[in-house]
Amino acid sequence: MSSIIQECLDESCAIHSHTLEDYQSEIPRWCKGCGDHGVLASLQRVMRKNNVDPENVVTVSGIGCSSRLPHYLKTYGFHGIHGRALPISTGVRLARPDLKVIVTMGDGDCFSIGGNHWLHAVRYNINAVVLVLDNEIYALTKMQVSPTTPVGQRTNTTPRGSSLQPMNPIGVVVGMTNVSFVAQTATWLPAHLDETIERAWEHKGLSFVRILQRCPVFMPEAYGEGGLNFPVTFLENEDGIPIHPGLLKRGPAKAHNQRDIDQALSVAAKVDPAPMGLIYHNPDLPTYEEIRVQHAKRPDHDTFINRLDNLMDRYAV
Amino acid sequence: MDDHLIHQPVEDVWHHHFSELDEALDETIRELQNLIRLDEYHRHGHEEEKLGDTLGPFGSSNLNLSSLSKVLGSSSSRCMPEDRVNRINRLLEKLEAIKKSCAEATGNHPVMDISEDEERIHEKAEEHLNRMAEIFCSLRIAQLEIRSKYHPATHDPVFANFSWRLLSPAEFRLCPPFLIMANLESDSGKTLRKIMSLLESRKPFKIAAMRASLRKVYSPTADPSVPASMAVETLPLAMRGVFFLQTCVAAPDFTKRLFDALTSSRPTLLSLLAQKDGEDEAAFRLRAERAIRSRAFPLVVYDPDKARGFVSCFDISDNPEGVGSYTFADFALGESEFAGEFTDPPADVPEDSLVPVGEYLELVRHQRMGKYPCVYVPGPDGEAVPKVASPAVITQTSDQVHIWRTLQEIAGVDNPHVNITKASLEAAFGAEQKAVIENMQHDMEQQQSQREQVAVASAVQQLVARLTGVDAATIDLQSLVDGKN
Amino acid sequence: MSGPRLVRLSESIVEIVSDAGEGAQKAAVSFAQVCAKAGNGLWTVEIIPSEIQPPPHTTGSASGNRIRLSEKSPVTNVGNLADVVLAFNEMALLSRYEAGTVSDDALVLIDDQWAEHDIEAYRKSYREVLEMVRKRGGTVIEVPLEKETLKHVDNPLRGKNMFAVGLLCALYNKDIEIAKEVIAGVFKKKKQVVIDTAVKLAVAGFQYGLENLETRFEVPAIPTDVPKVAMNGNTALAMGAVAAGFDLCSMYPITPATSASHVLSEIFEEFGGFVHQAEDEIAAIGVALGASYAGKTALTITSGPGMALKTEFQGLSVMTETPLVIVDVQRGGPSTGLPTKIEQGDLLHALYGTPGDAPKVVMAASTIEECYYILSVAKKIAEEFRMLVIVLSDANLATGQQLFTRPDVSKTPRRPPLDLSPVPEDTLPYDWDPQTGLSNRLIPGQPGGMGVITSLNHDRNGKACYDSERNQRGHQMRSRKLAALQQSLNPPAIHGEPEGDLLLVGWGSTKGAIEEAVDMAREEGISVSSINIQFLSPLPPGLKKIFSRFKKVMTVELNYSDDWDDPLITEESRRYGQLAWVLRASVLMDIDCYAKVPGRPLMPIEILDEIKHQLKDKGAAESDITTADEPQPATTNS
Repeated sequence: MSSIIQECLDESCAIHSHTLEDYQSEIPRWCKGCGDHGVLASLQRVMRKNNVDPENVVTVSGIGCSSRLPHYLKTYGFHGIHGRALPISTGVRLARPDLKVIVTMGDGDCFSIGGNHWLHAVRYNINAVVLVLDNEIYALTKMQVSPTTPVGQRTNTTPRGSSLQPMNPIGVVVGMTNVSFVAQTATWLPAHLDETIERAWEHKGLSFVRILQRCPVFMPEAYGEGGLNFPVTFLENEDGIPIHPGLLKRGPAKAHNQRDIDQALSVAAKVDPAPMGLIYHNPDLPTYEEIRVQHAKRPDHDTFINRLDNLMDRYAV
Repeated sequence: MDDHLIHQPVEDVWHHHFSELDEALDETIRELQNLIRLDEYHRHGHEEEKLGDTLGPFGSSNLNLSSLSKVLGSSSSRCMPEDRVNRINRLLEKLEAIKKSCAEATGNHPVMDISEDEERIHEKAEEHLNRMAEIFCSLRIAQLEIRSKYHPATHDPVFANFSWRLLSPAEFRLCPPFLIMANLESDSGKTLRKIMSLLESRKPFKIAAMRASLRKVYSPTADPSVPASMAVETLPLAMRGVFFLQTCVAAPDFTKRLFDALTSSRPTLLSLLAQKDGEDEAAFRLRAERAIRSRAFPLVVYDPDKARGFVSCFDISDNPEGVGSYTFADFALGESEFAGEFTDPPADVPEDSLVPVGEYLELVRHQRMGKYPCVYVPGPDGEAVPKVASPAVITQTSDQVHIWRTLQEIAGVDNPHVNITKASLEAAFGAEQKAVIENMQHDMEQQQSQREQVAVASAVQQLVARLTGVDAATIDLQSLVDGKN
Repeated sequence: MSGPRLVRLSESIVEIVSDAGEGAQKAAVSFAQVCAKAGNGLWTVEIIPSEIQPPPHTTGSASGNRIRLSEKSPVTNVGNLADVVLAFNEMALLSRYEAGTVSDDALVLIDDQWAEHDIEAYRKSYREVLEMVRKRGGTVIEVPLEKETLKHVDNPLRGKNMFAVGLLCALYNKDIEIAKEVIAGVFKKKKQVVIDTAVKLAVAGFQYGLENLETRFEVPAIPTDVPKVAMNGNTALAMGAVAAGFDLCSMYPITPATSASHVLSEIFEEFGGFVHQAEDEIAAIGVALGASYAGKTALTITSGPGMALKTEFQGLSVMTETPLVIVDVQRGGPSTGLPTKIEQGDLLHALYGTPGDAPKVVMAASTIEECYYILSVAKKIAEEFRMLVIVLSDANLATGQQLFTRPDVSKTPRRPPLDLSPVPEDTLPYDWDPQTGLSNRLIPGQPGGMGVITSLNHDRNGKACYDSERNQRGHQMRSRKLAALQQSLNPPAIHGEPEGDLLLVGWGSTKGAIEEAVDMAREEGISVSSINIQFLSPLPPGLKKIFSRFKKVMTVELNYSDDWDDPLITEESRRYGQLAWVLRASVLMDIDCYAKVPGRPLMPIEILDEIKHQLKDKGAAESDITTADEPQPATTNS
């Protein structure tokens, strides 16, 4: 009911219509050519488009270059600790389902030190836009190997080349129980990035978006030098991420049904060419906070006291 | 005529809406009270006594409350401005009053008859809608207050002139319906025109058009094939923003359909098959089933909000499939209003002059000469006994068939244009698919033979290795397969 | 013999033990309720095997309860050596002797089925254990527990314990009618036939006792009008969390803390809250912190190993000044340690476990009653001071049951609603009061308050900064809040005279045993007093002043310290009990410690011995302390 009223307020009660500036904070201090700039701009655009009140958005991050993002958004922001953005976000959503939550993490942040939280957050299916800015390297700490670093890549902790196969995070997420939204995009495809973040924003549930981007300083060669030489396939579906004709220069389109988990699993298993677009989508799953909050309605004070008194009776002698 | 059919669902919707409104009011009141309470807390929360209450015995014994009160200092900087507190208190009073009046209004919903003066109907409806608008207006103001977004300069003027016309579709959906009852007799043109006029006002009326008898009277003409009277089922074509439902007790999901129609944000026309005076429940149900089966009373849902395209909004899929030769005339045979319309065939008429009604309708004018349209009833020994239908029955049967075909065409079922496209697409797609399958078959065969070759080659490789003592890995397998080195 | 003898006692300690799963715990709980209803003061504590299904008929399988019942109320601790043991088999009995909790002259009631058992090994060990008991001076009464039970039910496993309840009622001269009522309550979720059978068995046990026990006891009760409740500390914590107005408890299972979450999980939703079981200890505190940040201060409940995992997030709470409450129900450490046993080993970790300087509030509950009230204080301080508050409890409080005055829930304060009112655009996220370090928190949803809080060092604007001046300032402001709180603390109350030869300083659940020992000593004319410290950070004011009025100050703690006579131990190498470390550093006085890790609560008598030992050693006592009129545990020799 209150959501109905809320809708009306937005529509007709002369509530402030927001501009892009309403979501802009200080000037970002990322390196020149870093894809993080594009993700920030994209988030600001989607918020503007949805005319969301900035005070009702919480942006949570871990530690790493990408985790500076909340500083540059004029929303409420929580720049937390390495790998732990998702538990914090879960807490925010459980306490305040009225707040919109954005989570930004890096590849090491989410897939490595935060791995356990990552898997379980997907399973909880909290309602949050979860962006992983994956540059295949630990950049803030100056070039150590990350879970997605390609085999043979020289880094400061693998001076003779990394020895392990890189992780395929998309395969992991799509294989996780209760997954509801998985997409992949890249910062060198700005329109595709915008559309993907917009879809993630609309989805009710945990929208996991892996954003491929290179690090201009420590990993300029990532993803075929930032997409120049990186084979991709665009997933095509009426309800997927639109494929603008210009994109087809980068790779072919392929029909895909993101509502079909078997198709999604098979697409998610492929890394070369990388699938781009909406890989899996199930809009009908309930979120964890919905499930929990519906059983926990705070009674008025008198009822509260009465119940506490009744409870105390159990222990009375 | 029995109005029970519609009054109970309306009652249910009222009950449903009022309990939702009541809950919303409760919640809103609670949230506003919280604002006042929060303000109190900011004013007094750090006072010694309040701290003692909050901290309980453990805290009170371990902490020096007066010192703590000083350390925490006053939080009065967070208090609300006086005028906002007053505004909220006034709003609270108003919401309490609304809540009370809602409680009194339950079980007492407005209903008017179509025969009343049109102006009067509008006046009454306006009254009802504005009462609802007042509730939603207060709820909106309250939500703005709760979100600290009420700015008197901006919002006072908006809400000063708030009327029902500003309600959103979602709010309309929650307005308890304003019901108008209409009785459709056999000559319904005038009533239908009044209904349309009312619907045109865009007020979310719920007009219940009840039809007990399905007999229509047509203006007599020489050509009975396409009568000029209005078919209520085609109203959606004329009024695309009106929710239209034609249904009866024998329809699947009858209650749900009624609920959807009554809770639509749109002006709504419900066309219902009504019980006749004195007709018992079981007989009525049976009649309703026959009416559906014979398409005497086709089931139609037109929900303008369901999709963008007209066809997707127009739904006749509730009708059972496979009517076969069971026509309106067969239905009419069992209806008392048509009692005089069926006669025995003249005694000496030849067998081949008796034609089933369905076939008869397919005949052109000159072919019908000397033929008798018949329906068949089971005789005492189980044999089929023909009864000749009157021209009036034939006219209405022809009309009903025509209406049903029209409905099918506009619903996209059996639309000739669609059918042609479908056929051509199937042909094209079939050819393509065939090519694909052939290709795949070819590939598979090739792969299989390749695999066989590799298997043979690797056996040879092992053999050579064993015989010659050469390391098997150094033998180029591919060259064995390709047959060159 | 002229009929049974009734011996009047001021208190008695009875232990009831069986194999795990045989229901001694249920018997004990029922009997304890009978005593409570009769008006006795009471403390019960569970005897828990550390495995779910230990091999039967071994000492490791012993499960049950110890009940201390007294004519006076409240009983504040688990007491000294047991006077009576009711054992279902001799290995369970033996386990109590091995634990050193049974008096030499105890009365032992034991099931006699083992004397004639098919298994030779059981017959042998039965004979041997009983011989050991008798040799020590104990009295053994063999009871046909199994045989009598079999007269009423097919499966003695489902009934022996109820027979035992009746037997105990007879032994302690309790009204069997009360027992019937209690049993009906205990089985209230079961079918009527189950209740009827249980009552029948209890009556049979009672009859058997009346007819066969030559000596019976009477621990008179002093009736009172004050309504009482009986619960364990974890239940009290759970109820207290509800009363304090928490909405979310985010936890990960860990012994002995989990049962608090069990209770909360059952009751919380009715009050608008819920328990979130996270994927690990780290996430548990992370979720709590996220909820707190969003405006609804949350709670996480854990124990030692969990505390270790939570330190990173504790630092985040401190740095971002996000209120948060952690309950640490301490157990034996380090590492997995003694999961089900008591220790007060986490004090230093709670105080200093976080890297960097991380000022936080640490409080300790010293009674089960305090477990109920302490969370209201923790929450309020956390919110008003924007601080991390750690509440220490322990396995003794967690699993012990105490009778205490029923809290008046009508006094539970209405908590203030979430403050989402707009703030002026220039409001700072850390608008520190330079005097107190306090600042108003901004809560997501408050228009105008948008900004980032960060784990990096930051200034008043919340902006990350790396210069030395603002780093120093941030530390100052976070530290100053502790000083501000310290100002508002009351000095601890002194139990006994405000000056004397010896002051015992305790914290947490040892309070009852220490005060009882002090009382016993003072009755003997020994000049000893005690205090219990409830705020460990910040420490309450006036400690130095209190300490200086005593010739010797010594902490009594359930954690490890080197003994003076241990090899290699010198003044320089000795490691002290944890509170002793803290106090020595804080007041710069030579504070000694009596700190042990027995894995069970300290008995008053042990502390009394230590008091005497200390005063004799150091020559502080007046003269030879006689032990002649030391109160004797109730004897049963007749």
